[in-house]
Amino acid sequence: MGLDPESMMLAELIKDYGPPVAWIVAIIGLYFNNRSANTREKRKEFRSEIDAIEKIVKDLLGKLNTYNRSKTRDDAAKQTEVEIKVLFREIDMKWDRLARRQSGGELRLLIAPCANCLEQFFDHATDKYFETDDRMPEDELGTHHQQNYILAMMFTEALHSLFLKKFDGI
Amino acid sequence: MQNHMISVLNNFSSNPSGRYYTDGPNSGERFRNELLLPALKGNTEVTVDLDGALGYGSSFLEEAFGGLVRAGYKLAELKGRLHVHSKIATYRNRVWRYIEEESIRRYGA
Repeated sequence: MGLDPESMMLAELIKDYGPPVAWIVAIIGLYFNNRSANTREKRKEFRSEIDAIEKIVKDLLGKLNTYNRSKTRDDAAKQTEVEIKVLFREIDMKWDRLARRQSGGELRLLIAPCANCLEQFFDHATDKYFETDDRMPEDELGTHHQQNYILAMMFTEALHSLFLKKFDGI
Repeated sequence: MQNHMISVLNNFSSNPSGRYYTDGPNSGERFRNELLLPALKGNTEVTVDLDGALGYGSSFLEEAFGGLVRAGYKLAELKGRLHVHSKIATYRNRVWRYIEEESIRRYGA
C-alpha cells in the first residue's frame, strides 16, 4: 500500500532536512544550557562576593567596638586603627569590583544607594575620635556603635537589593 | 611649571593617619601643609597617588583635601589643577566628595 502524496512530501522533507534540523536543535539546546550555566556561575560568584563583604563588615564592626572602647590610644589601639583602615580598604576594593561589573540603567540606579551607604558608614566610623588621642565619652559609645551597626546593615541590605535586581529582577 | 607628582606611600607615609598635627606625625593637616599646598603653589598641576598606603580614615582625607578649600582654593580651580590617582575608584570619589562638601559648606557651591 503506497503513501498518499502529502505523507510522501513530509517523508522527503524529513529525509532531506532531518539531519541539519537535528543539529540546529542540538546547538540551540547547547546554547541555552550554556547560558543558564553561565548565569548560575555569575550568580554564585556575585553571591560569594557579597558574602565576603558581609564577613568583613562584621569583623570591622567588632574592631570598631574594641577601638572605641579603648581607654587610651596605646599601641594596641594604634594597631586596631590600622586593622580598621585595612578592612575598609578591602571593602572598598571588593565594592569597586562589584560596581564596575554592573551595567544597565536600573542597576546603575542601585549602585548609587550602595555607594552612599558605604560612604555614610565610612564617614561615621572613621571621623571625630578615630586616630586621635581623645577617647569617645562613655555616654556616646552606645549610640555611636548602634549607628555604626545601622549604617553597616544599610550597606549590606543595599548590596542584597542589587543582587535581587540583577538576577531575579525584583 | 609642570605636573608635580606626590605619592602618599613614597613621599609621606605608608600609614597616613589622623586629622591634626596633634594626632600624630602622619596627619592630614601635615600632608596638606607640607606637601599639597607647596606643590599647588609651585606647579600648575599636581597629581596625588593614593595607592600603596595601608588605608585611609575619613579624618585624614577630609583634612588633607577638604582642607584645601578651607585654605582658599576653589572647587573649579582644584578640578583643573589637582589630579587624584588610585586603583580604587572609591578613594578618588571620596577625595572629590570631601572637596565638594567643603566647597558647599564654604561657598554654597
